Amino acid sequence: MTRHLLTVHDLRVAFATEAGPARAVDGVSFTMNAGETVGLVGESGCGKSLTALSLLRLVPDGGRIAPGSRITFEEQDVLAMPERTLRALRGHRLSMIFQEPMTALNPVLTVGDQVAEVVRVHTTASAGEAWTRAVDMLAQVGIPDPAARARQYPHELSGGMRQRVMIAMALILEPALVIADEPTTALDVTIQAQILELLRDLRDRTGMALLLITHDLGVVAEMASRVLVMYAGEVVEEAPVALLFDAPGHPYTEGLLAAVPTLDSTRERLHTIPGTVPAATAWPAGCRFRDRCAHAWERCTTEPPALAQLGPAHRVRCHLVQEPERRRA
Amino acid sequence: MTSRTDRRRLALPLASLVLLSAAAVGAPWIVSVPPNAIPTDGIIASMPPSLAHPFGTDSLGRDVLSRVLHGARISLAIALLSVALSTSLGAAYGAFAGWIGGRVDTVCMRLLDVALSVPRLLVLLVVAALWGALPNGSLVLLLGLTGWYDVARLVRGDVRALREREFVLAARATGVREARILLRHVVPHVWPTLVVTATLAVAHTIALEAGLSFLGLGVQPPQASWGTILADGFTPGGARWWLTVFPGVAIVTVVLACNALGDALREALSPRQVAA
Repeated sequence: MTRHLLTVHDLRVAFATEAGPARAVDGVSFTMNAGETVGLVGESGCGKSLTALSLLRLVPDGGRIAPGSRITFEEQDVLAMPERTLRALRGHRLSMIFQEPMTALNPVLTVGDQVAEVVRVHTTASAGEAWTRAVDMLAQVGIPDPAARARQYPHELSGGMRQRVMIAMALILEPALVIADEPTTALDVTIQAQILELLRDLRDRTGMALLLITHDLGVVAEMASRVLVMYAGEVVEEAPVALLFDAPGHPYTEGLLAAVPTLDSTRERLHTIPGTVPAATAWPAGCRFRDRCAHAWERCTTEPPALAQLGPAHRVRCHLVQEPERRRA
Repeated sequence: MTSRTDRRRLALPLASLVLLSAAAVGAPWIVSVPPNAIPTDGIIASMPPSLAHPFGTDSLGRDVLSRVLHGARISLAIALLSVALSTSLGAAYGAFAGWIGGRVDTVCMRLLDVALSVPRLLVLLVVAALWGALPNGSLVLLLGLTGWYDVARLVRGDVRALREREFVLAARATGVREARILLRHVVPHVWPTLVVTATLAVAHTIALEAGLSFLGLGVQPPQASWGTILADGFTPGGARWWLTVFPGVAIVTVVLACNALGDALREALSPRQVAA
């Protein structure tokens, strides 16, 4: 058996709320190999960002990772390691690119300072060496005139440039795994393509693994080799990217794919999935998607479906796997 | 990043403060008479302003101009040092409480409420009265140690809000230590608050020190401070308006200038400049 770069086992994160515990991430398990790009897809509030933050043990105040959850990264138990070891990991072996660079960059520090700080924190490099490396990295992420740009503040850069700075910060120490949480959502469409191109380029050059969190299936199709679909705090489907697009197993995935607008579409209106995600404080018994599902029958109201094997690398959390005849045309 | 109106509003108070500070620093070179020199002939005691003594003389014949300028050194030094002390104390206390949060924060803030419930002037009067004649160093300490509560509350509020910002999370995600995040990523955001409150505190402290010295509990005679000169004008022996007006004008000028400067700084430093 090959050793995985990252193993997440039965990850559960709950928030204490007035309506009781909100189980925002509820039993998520997956693995990632070195150099692999995995897409983590789902609509807002499905728990994908929280899953990502949990990998760095950065759950927001009020949230708790339940005992029994296990995260193993490079053979180390992330949830059990002391704070010191964890800090050495963050930004160095395992780093994160945030969605909104305007808020994730500190407005009172120059971008060069912020990139150099990662080097200063994790290596013995002097301030001068760190600065040189930072300028170098800014050049690598395609920032023109990096020496001058490094002395500027975030508000002096465009959105695309800021996201390049975020990428420089995350990648300067060549981590084994980079988590990118909706890295292009806050950007113009033309800039989005450039940033994705840059990420792909850097990934291929450094051999890093990339966990790409997005709600944009187009991004996934372009970047990822494998996809995890999350719904209501659970992984509902896991498949190689081609398989997911050709033969989705879960009705939710089907709905997501149908909702993607295409140029040759003759439909006048976009497809939507009816209904909304149930509240995390009160997941329904049985299948969490059943109220929005066209195929649901009695079994779905009582018995929560398990993640069932549909093919060699294809797993689906749906009773249709065992009873495909229930599928309605 | 200050606009032109900001600069205009800053100019006048800043100019008057710079002028006054320069006069204070340069006092020994501006006036030739030492502030405590008592003329031996005694004829020029309690003289109204004249060419020889532009601000007049007091009952001992000391030159009031010289005393006002030398007094400025004492009054300004006491105010600046005690505000430096109170601002750093308050900033440290507030930043600590706000950053740690939770129960520690609650306890820190309740303690502050207790401290705030005792009137500052009362504390000052009691301590000064018990002590007798306060040396100037102790006066600075006393003013500094009783003046940091408001700063602490403001800084604590700022830090509470800042720790929720995403760049703090991002710094954590790159492995930066908590103490470094607080000092390098959060504290710079608090600077405007500190500058504004410190400026306003200088105004307040100048007036407070003058009051204490006037009552004989602050700077001790024969040393000149604006408060002690005012007190000299209050001794029986006829109306000597020049002993009240000149130090009074000095106090009012500094207090008004500091308040105006504080307000202008608050305007200039308020975070509206970020146009993304």
